Amino acid sequence: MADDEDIVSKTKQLIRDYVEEHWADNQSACYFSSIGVHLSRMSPDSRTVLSGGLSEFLRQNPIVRVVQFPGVAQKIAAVPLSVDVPEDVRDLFLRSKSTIALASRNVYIQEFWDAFVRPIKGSIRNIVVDDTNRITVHDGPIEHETGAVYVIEPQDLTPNIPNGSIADKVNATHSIIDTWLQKHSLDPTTFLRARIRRRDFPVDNRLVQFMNAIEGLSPDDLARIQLPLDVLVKLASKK
Amino acid sequence: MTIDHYIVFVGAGAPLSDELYSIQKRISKSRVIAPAVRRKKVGITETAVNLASSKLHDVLAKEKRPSQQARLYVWMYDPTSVEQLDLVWTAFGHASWIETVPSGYLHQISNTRQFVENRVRQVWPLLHEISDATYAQRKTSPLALPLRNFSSTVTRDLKRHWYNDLDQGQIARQIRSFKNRHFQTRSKEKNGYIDEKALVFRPANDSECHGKAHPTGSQGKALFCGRFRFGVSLFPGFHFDVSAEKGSTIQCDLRTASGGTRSMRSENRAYINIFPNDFLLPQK
Repeated sequence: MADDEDIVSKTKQLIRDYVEEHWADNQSACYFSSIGVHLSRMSPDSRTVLSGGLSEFLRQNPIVRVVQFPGVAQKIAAVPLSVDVPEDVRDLFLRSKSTIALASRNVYIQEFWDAFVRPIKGSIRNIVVDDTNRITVHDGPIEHETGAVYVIEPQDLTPNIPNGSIADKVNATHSIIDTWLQKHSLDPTTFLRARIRRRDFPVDNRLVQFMNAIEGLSPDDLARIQLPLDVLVKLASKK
Repeated sequence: MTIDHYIVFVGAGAPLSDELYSIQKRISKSRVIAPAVRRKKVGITETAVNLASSKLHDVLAKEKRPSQQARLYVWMYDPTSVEQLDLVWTAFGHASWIETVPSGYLHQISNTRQFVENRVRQVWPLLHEISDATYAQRKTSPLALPLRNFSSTVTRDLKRHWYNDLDQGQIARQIRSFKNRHFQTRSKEKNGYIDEKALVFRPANDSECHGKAHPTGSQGKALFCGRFRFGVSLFPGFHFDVSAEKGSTIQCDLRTASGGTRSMRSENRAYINIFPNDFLLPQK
């Protein structure tokens, strides 16, 4: 049927434009999952011609170049035909500028974040910050105030985005929280999650701790430890 | 000497063109058609596609006794835009087996020639599968159908680059799937296949493959499409006797080999012969 042909050409055009736009913005490959969300949002009819899957559709209609991350079947993406695919395609999967920007965003305490996502039971939601900066969330009026109280109203919640991806919802929540913080003139650091620091002490101290731990072992236990000779020489030189 | 392998390269510069012609010494019964284009027109340009297409037409038109085992391959470097791919697809389409050389081989003349040479050999078993369905099983398989005139989901799929990136087993499976889907349009009573426009396509018997062995139409592309399908030879003179499923005469528009439309309403024809390249016989 002619309708099918129209849907095919529309789907091809949407995929091509989206992948080219993504490349222009990020210089990285566009994941199939992202293309799928875009298609379902822009053209729900495309499902009828994608019954064999996006990969199969693009094999028969090579309008973009498909790249597969080595060894990870789930990481499959597309780049425009004009892009020279390097020998190591991993370069095309490097994090895009927008992803790096997202990663450097504030990470809020889970309870605080959820307060803007979950529906309110009642008319208002209160966020209480006590003297020790501990945060609690209560739906409905509070009888005994034990610290500073800030109100979240239904219009402050993240709006529902039909067919939106997780990334869209996260962006919307960030935007809502930023607006709410500005409205109440609050410092976002109060609501940030404490970052786990993996390297709180210098490498030299870790080596000393390691050597001390080894020295504390009995001769029998030490006899069971096998270390390559070159590693032993390096350890001895650093000690 | 009959030619078994027509190897067309689109958009080669002069040095690459010279190098590619040496394939003729390495692959027996092969004919390379790699017309050199000016430096500014190198790559998949309209000029390059038209030049390759007209050279191929000249070579095929001169063949007095075409080999029934002949294969037609069209090569190009990886296209850098959809428009480039469309140019080649429009010119050679479903007549040839289209392959690409990775863009990493650009400016590597000797490596490109070697790549084409090796890949041609790898493609042989794949074309054998296609030939089996197009030539030997032409009466039951949809691969030899006139793609413009037989309206069905199968012919719509066949107009795409369906064999792209498939290995021998996958091609065999894909052809089986096409055949099974095509079989659903079969009418035992009419002894043919019925398309979405309610036309009955009855495959001609071998004794009926009369007239011009490969009707050429007025355009070059009609000649390729009459001789080859997906890179393999078609059975000479094979065609379909087409009639209306209901009614005594054909009352619809048919597409011609040159891409035009022919209205059958005023012709009062009970049947017409349609060749795989959509050539209509008798002509108007």
